Amino acid sequence: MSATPPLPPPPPPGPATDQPPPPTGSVVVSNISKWFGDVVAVSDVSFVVEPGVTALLGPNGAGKSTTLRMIAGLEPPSQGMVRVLGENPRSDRVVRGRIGLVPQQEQLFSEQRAIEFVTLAATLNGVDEPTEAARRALDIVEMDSNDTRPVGSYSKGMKQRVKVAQAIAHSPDLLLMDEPLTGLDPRQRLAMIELIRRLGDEGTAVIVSSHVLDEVERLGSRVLVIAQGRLAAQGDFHEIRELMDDRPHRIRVRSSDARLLGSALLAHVGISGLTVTGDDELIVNTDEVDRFRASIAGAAMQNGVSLFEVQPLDDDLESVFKYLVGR
Amino acid sequence: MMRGFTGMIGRMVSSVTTRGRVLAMLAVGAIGIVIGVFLDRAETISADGRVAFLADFGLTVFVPLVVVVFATATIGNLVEEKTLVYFWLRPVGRWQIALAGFVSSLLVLLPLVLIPMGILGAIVGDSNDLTGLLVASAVGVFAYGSIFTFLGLLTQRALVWGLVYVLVWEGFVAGLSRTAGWLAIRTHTTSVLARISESLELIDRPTEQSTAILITGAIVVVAFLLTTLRLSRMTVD
Repeated sequence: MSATPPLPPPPPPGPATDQPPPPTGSVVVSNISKWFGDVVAVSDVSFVVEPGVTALLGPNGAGKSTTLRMIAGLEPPSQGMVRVLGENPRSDRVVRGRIGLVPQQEQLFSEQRAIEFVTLAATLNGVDEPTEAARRALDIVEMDSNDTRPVGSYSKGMKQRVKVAQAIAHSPDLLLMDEPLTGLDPRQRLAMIELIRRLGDEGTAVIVSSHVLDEVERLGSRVLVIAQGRLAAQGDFHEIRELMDDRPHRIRVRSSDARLLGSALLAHVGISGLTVTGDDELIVNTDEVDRFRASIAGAAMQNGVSLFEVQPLDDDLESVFKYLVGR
Repeated sequence: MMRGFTGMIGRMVSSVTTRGRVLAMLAVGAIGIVIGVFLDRAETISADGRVAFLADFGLTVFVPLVVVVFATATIGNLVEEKTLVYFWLRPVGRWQIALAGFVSSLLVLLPLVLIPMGILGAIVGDSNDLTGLLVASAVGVFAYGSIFTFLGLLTQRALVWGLVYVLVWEGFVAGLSRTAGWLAIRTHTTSVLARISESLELIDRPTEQSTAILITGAIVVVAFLLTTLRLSRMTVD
């Protein structure tokens, strides 16, 4: 992989103004919105992406793919501005050659062999030795460049790897991957995550969209959380994880005596609400889920109550994202 | 970049020439040839009647039908299959994609149209009729081909709209006034056949051959520019 080229030089110094200098980075997204008729897909999103891996995390339909597509230049923002390596990706021909895209859709040129498909991509990107570059790219994703079968006959996972190969064959400076782990088996997932991390370490700006928290965790990346079309949070994965853990939680507790256990729990700090919903069941609201987890067993034991089940009611990603958006 | 350009053409040609499409269109051509054989044996048909058959079957039915079926699919297939992105997001000019689409249409259509038309012209007419039919068919392939290639990029119902254009505009509206007739490709293809075969009664006030070819050229240029513009401004899936 080639190293990331130097970013465009900053603008020359001018007269002092109140305006902050424009941000620079491999990708600069400034206040972009996208609407389709009455539906707002992306609303006033801004961020800067530097070389390395950045994950776009959000539930399905959150606006991740639309954001990626606007960065690739495939569709214009209804409002706002996208710059890739300082240029508009929709109109600048040169910058398009520095982008690699792994689109979400599965379709490839189905009658072509993998080597033909990737060679065509390398050729169109102006690579000097396109066939050699295609072989290398296919090797990287563990595909056989001598396979004579048409890509239309491939499994979903194989197609996914061919899509990645066509996106990296020209050593792009910006790699956009829309749900790249979809369809891969666990071993291939590990290999793909390793590849993404390696590309990021080598200086490529890689933006990976995903709706799976565990995948993003393994990428060890900076995270942009998108929910309901808005940028809900951004930062290091661990910061985001803490933010998610610190939110109010609802927990269902089943025990041998719900009223007795409830009274005992109310004496503990951090419980903001408690509802007894049956003889053996209560719902606890808490802002300090870690302390609650640490103390519930002791509280039950001290009061001679048997614990049957402790079940978080809102630990799914949708709830997490809703909380982040509503903060 | 020439390799990339030819690569795009190869992909488009391969995508559009499905066995079903080719066989269906060859079957339509074969029907015309069979009718032509019977016509050739009928001694009561005049020379003008034979040229009229070449115009009616060849230029009114066969050429537009074959062209609309294939040309709407050259770029249209990529849009429908969502594979246009593999050409679009590359450092190639939009005009190169448009040109690749147009050239692909010509590469597929010229043999598919000219071979059956050549056989039909040889069976039914004399050498002037044959030459006229071949030149008029080629003019039709260029003009319809450029318009329908653009139409394939413009809408996913390009085949339907193309047939509406051929049947409603060219078949009906163009006959209502001379101005509307001028905007119909069929007027010019029939004029070329009428001039070369010297069957001037084939069409009311046929356009000059050079005028017909100039108009075809203008249609090709405008359709090409529109295709390029559309590629620059469209949202790509």
